[in-house]
Amino acid sequence: MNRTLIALLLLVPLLTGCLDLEDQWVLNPDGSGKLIRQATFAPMDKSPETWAKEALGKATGFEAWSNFESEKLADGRLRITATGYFKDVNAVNGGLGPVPRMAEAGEQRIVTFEEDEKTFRGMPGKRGGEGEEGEFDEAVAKAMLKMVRGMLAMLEDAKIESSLQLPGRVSKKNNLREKEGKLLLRVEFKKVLAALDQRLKDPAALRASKGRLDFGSMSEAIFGAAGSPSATVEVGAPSFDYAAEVEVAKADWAQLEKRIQAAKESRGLTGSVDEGPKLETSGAPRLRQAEVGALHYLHSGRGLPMRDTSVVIQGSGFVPQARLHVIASLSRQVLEVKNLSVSEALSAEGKDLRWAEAKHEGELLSDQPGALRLNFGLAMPAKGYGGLASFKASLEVVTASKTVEEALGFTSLAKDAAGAKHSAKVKSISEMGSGQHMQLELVGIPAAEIAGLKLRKKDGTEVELRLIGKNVWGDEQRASLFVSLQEAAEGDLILVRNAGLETTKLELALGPCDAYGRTQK
Amino acid sequence: MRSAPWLALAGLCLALCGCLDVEDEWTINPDGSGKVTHRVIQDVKAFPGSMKPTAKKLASEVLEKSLGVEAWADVETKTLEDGKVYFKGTAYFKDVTSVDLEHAVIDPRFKREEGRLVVELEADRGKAGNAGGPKMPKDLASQKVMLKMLGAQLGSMMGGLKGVTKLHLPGKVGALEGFAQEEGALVARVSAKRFKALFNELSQDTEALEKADLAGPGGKERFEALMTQALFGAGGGGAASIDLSAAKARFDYGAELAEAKEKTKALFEQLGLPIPGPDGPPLKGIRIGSLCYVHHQSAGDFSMMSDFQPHAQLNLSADLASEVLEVRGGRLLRALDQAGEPLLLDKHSQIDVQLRDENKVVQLSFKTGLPQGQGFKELHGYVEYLLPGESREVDLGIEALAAGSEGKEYAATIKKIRKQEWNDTRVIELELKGIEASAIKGGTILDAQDQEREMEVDPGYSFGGKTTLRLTTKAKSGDLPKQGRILLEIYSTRTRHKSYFTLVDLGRSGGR
Repeated sequence: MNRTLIALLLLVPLLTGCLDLEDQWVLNPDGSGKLIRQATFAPMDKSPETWAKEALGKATGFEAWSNFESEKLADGRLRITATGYFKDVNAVNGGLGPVPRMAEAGEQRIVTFEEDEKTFRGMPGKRGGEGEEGEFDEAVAKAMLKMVRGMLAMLEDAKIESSLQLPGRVSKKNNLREKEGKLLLRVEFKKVLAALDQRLKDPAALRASKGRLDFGSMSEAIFGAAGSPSATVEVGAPSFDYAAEVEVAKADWAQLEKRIQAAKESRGLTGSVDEGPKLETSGAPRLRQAEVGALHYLHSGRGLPMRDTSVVIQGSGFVPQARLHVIASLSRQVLEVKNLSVSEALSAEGKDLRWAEAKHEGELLSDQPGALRLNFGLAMPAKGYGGLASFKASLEVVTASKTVEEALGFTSLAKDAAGAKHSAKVKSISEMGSGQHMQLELVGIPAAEIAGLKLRKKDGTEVELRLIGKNVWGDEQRASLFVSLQEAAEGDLILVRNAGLETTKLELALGPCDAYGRTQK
Repeated sequence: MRSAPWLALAGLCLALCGCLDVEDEWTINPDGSGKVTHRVIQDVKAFPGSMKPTAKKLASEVLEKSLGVEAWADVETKTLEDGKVYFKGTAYFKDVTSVDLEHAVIDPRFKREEGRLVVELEADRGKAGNAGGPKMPKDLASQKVMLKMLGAQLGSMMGGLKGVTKLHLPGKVGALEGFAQEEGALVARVSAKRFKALFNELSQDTEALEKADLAGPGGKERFEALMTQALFGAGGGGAASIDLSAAKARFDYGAELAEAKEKTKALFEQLGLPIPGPDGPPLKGIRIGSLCYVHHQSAGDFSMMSDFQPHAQLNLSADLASEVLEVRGGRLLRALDQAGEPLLLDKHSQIDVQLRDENKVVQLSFKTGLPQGQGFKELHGYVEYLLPGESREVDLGIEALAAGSEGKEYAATIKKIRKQEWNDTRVIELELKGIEASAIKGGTILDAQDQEREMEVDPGYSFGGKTTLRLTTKAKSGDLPKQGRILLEIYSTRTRHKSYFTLVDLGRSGGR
């Protein structure tokens, strides 16, 4: 474990913006337990729910989170507390900070803090990280570690503490301090930086570690003794009644999950940092705002702007035209935008700029929930054109009221394996970093209906899969779905389908804009 | 004083892993002609093996990408004992206002103003385009954290960045700000080591942060000014105004230039670079493909640049006077709207250039600021391209026509031989090192009896120091002989030229 423990301790909070992390792990002899997490952040103009997504949403293996509270500290920082419940500590990934692992040895339980592979992938020397394979280059390794040191230096004032409350008498411990009946793991960043500096000055140690973030061999410098932080406990009574507490927590969790999800989808047109008005999760979508994103004058079918290539005929069939790109934000996230139509497009000179053959296209902005990019075709205006006096258009958006799940009927998930429904087929499986990418083909499912995929493992448990790409084309609605897998998958795939689809027609009107597309007041 | 585009430096230094040590010594005559000795030391330790820049690559970049230079002299290029790569050379220029040195850390900008020469300093922003400062969170607690993190990150990653500029100017120095005077020269120094201390200090000073209002209107500009101060020290940058009325020439430009020009050709040949040639005829038949005004980031192109600013994007095509081997990009030098307002987004307004129609047509794409009024008054720039010179035949030294077979020249390797069923041809995929695709004119294969096999040579492409080439046999000419030789016709000289273009009175929709 010790190989990367401290790296995890340090880098994960860095990546998520957490300043202080206090994790209290309470374990039962059967591996069940709870994590009482207290994380302090610089607010960075984000809501408590958004930070809850960072602090809790990245953790896996938890049945429920409860007791969520947020508090603004006197110095302006934001503190979040919550309690997470897990059935098996060995299946938990904390998302932040180190995680304990428990091994059985008769009447003893050996608990060791381990790295969290899920959140630590891609760092130097980690699974899937660059430099894992191939010849060791001392200069490169040194430069990489220097860069990492530079990042760690940012966390000079951050604190990370993890405590363990174990079910019985502790008979042995290493690199853990006992305090008020708990075992404490505390990281002092100055010691870590000093140990890293020492490593950079010691070519032999650098070579021995092959440039990896091998903090294991630095344990002595950081904690005082060699070896992993660990403890052996003589099994006693459970620390708490897991079944009773988790039942209560589950009721809490349903509410909190909704709040986190709403925070996730609440960003408006303003981009990734600012949070726009919150999106609604039900009701008919409404148009909140629309503005000219760009105005294009296309004179030739060659070298078209990239945004227009899919909607404008290139080469000899090209017709000179203008294209108005509108960025619109809606009151709720939609699944599809279609049937764009222009009802009025009057130039400042009173000319009708509508064009019967014009093609229009709309798309969802994947990085801005609730936002659309609408690309309207207009006739090329005559010389002396002074802008648009008025523009009116309509569009249709599709929403879903529920999702349904449908097993695809796979018995194997190897390449070329076929499912029983929707002509499902595993088209390819490729290694990608430490995981895999699977390309799945389905036939006859409209794009708007594909909400996600789950893996139903052979033991009956289900995990949500990350859909990294979706492409549906042709009359027979042939879909290619690209799925990220943590490891080779076995079992069946469950298609999560949007159901209860509803189409809403929206009307759009823009005020006058000049020939550059700038709004005129 | 302009603010320093600090993110540009961050971009530059992340690319160079923060280790660029540059000294420039300028000597300028009253007429704007002059010379600059440009010394660059680049630490390449952090680059992975195949990406590690060599001394030759550094020299190529400086010699090929520096602008406004008529000739180079006294070029020295080497790898130092500690593995760093080194370039030193003297560039001669006719007009100091048009010089732009590649790998400069300090970028002095010169301009003439009523009998005076004015120089302002800023850090080179070429690598990162128009990147600006970060968007600061509104609350002070978050600002403090962000500043501390930025200081630590920049100090650590860019700590090795150093620049010294010495200016030997032709007249009496008038107004002066931010420069030191040493032995008759104006001197400016920058160091990225100052970042950490400055930002740490600021992160602890609540009053100063409140005053700076970094999250408020104009906050980005104020932040950039802080970065400038961090880079250049107190005073933040430098500016000087020189009275040229009684100025005398510092050296005989004509004589030194003539001597340098004689050496330049040999220098470029020695480095295997295309030789600078005279300007070609202006571009003809300019056709506007599209003119786009982009106001929102989500409506622009797919650029990853985070610091969006509204802009106009032009795509146009034009005819070259003759077929060329390759295009090397271009630059927009002047962009004015009808009111005469400049629209260049920055000094390095790059033009993306693609070759079309048998290498006789170029397609240009570039951005400008948004014009006011009736559209563009003038757009002026150039494209750069290579023309063929002399060629020679080179036997690659391959003996067996089989996959994996290696030759002696250009580290030639046959990567693959395959049969194309659809037209019954054989394709040899060849990999070469140390030669660019456009330097290959053609090729042929001789069998063991020296009988020529007719081949079509696909010009291929170059990437990461390797050039991939495809040789295809005539349809239905049967299998390749097992033994044979591959001969390539190689351009031993290629020359580099510029062709200029000027577009005037371009209406708001791109019609003229």
